[in-house]
Amino acid sequence: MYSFYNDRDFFLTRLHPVTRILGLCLLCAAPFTFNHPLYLLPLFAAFLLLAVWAGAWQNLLKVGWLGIIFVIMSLVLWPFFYHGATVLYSAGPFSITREGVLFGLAIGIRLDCFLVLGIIFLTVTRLEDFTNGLTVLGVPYSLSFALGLAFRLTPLFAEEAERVVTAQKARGLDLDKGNLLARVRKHIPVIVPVLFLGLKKADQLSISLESKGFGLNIPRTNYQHYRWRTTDVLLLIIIVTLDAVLFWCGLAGYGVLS
Amino acid sequence: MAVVQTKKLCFKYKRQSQPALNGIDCSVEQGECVALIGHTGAGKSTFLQCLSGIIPKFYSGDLSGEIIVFDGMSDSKNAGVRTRIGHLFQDFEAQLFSSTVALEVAFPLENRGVPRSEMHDIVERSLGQVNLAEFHQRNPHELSGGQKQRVSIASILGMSPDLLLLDEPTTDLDPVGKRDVVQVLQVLKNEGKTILLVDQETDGLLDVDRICVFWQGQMIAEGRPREVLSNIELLAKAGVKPPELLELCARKGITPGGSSLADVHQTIREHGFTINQQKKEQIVAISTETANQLDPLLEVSHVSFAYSQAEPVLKDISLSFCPAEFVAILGANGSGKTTLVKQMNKLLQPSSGSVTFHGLDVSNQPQSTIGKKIGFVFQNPDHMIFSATVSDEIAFGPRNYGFSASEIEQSVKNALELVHLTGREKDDPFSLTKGDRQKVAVASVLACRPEIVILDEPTTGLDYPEQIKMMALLKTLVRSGHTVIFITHSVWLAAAYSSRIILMEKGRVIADGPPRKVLFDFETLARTSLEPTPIIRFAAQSGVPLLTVDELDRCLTNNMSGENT
Repeated sequence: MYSFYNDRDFFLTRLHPVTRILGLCLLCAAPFTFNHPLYLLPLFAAFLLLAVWAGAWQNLLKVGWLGIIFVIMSLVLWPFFYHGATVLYSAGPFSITREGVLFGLAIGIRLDCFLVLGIIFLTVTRLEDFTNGLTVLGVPYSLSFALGLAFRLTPLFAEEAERVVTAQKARGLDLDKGNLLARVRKHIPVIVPVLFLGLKKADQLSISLESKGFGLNIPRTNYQHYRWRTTDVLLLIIIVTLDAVLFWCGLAGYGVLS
Repeated sequence: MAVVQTKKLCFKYKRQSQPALNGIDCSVEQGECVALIGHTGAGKSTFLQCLSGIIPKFYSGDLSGEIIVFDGMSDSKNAGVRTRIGHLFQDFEAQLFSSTVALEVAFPLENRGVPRSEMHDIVERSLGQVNLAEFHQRNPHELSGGQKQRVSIASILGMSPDLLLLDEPTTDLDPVGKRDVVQVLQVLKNEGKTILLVDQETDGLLDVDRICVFWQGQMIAEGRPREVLSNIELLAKAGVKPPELLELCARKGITPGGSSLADVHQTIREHGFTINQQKKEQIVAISTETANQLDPLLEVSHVSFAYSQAEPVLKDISLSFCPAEFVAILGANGSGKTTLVKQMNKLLQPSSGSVTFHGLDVSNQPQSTIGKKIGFVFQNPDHMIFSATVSDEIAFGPRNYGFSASEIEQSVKNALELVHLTGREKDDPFSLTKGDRQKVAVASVLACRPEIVILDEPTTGLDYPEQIKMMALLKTLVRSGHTVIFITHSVWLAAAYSSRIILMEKGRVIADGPPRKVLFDFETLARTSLEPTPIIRFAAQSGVPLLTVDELDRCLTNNMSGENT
């Protein structure tokens, strides 16, 4: 099953959905305070510990490859755009500086922070909680639902992809053999059925929603009951305070590449 | 009071040349339970979609005629009508999108503004009605097909609609599940709900109020169930399988007093019919003679399997399969049937035990070797189809297995002939009917010249004539020396076509033998939530191991004439 949500009764899953959404946004603001990797690394480590505590470790391992790609791509690209004083290598108009490399590394770590926080959020938040939380924050329900659709459809697409791969393997398709171009071409027998089935499902989804009364001009009620607790308020205060401290540090010049 | 009224209702989908509905006049009174039957493409689902307003909102085309539902059109502007209609689609999986079963049932209630305090009771009640009371927190997408179908039904029941439109509500359910749904519908009928129900299986329709027969977009007959279902010629034209007992009586030219087993027995006796023992012995002897005496080519030895840390899905299974066997695997939803067959061609590998093919361990052989010899046809042909033409689709497997160009051409030609699709080489497979797409899927496996062909529910979604064609095709393969292993929920198909039946329950094989032995062991069959067909029950009560209407028809003779009439 391709859902990240870990259904267990746990501190984070008991938080009000608005706390989880605001908490995610506020924590995502933290990595923006620094652009030096040495300052971002402890923040990243803290988020990793949070992920372990939240039971998101297994989910993180599934997407760990994405985090590595973020760092590699940042390290390769940013030195060409971010210039500093300490030149490490120069060739014609292009030069790679120590500051550029550090900045590239910092951006990679920052992206990985977002990835970890996103996975933690998905691990402790059902898609209904996300949709309901957005509604409480004033987003119209139909828009909240549409935003949640990505979470609904991703597991469905992934499941269909797995079935298609199995079906095509049974017809002799070997996705692991051949050079890069050959392997890309071999994915066509997987991509076409997945797209076809996915589009069919998406088409059916709109009809299904209609059949279940979605979009009726009736004030919507909620099966789930969310309560604001003291822990919600305290946690938000802690996160805001953390952000404030980090921003003050950033403004004071800590963790900023010269 | 008429809840549904249509007058000269016509609808033609935008890109189709023929109308899907052609002048339907229909009236359904409050509290009626009406069944719609007919071949695939006859217009039954389209009719339901017109009633619920899905057509023309989501499907463009030419709609004409009159539709009145609860005295108002059922379009999106009329919320009052929309809230009174519950529509279950044929593709029930498309109606599931919540993260838990309880939330799935609650979703329509939330949309209707039902207070929370009432919602919990409604959810409990609806799940209880479909025997899913303990599945509240389960993710619907992790359930079996039959369980998913029950969740969809529960979400419709929870809406407490006055008009239920149910499009094949029991396709993926085992017989016990089907019986539960029938009971629920009976309760709803007693509460005054109006039900329109599309179903391919007529044995369960004897208690509805009325049956409407659709054929090529027209309603060609309607009437009481016994009237309609005894008209074998009408059902044959409409592409519907008649109820077995009524068919038997019709072949004998007699009309039973009722539709129950006891009624039919009595009618048969009253007309002087008895079993001709000599003919019975001949029939039974033929099936015994054809029992396979050859050495096994595929052996499953003490195989157990579990997905990661979960409870084992297969527990110590040992089976062997010989050439030219026609094997049906039956069992309740979740009994391990699909997991078992996937072990056979290395799509899954056993946690313990082994699978050997011609004496060689399958796990030590490359997928490309095994896949060529043991073909697998999946339940949904859309999981395989991707090419622009039928011939390219069929050639895909042989190309992967390294066939030469001339071998590919010949294999494709032979496969097309076997599935009766010669002349359709250039057709777009996506434009074919479900039945033809299924044939393309079978052909694409046959083109690789496998020795064994495994099919997972090959007749799901096919109407009666298409099911017969598919099974006849598989029979041809067996006659030409292939071993065919198919998973099915359909006891009548297994009885009519297979030479061997394997019953599974909770990961174990609980019976394995010829149909005349396995299907007459009612106690063991009941453990798999399957039920003998009405004709098998009749035969058992008559003390003869006969499996089909044909067999009984041949054996029942009239004492007075002394000949089979």
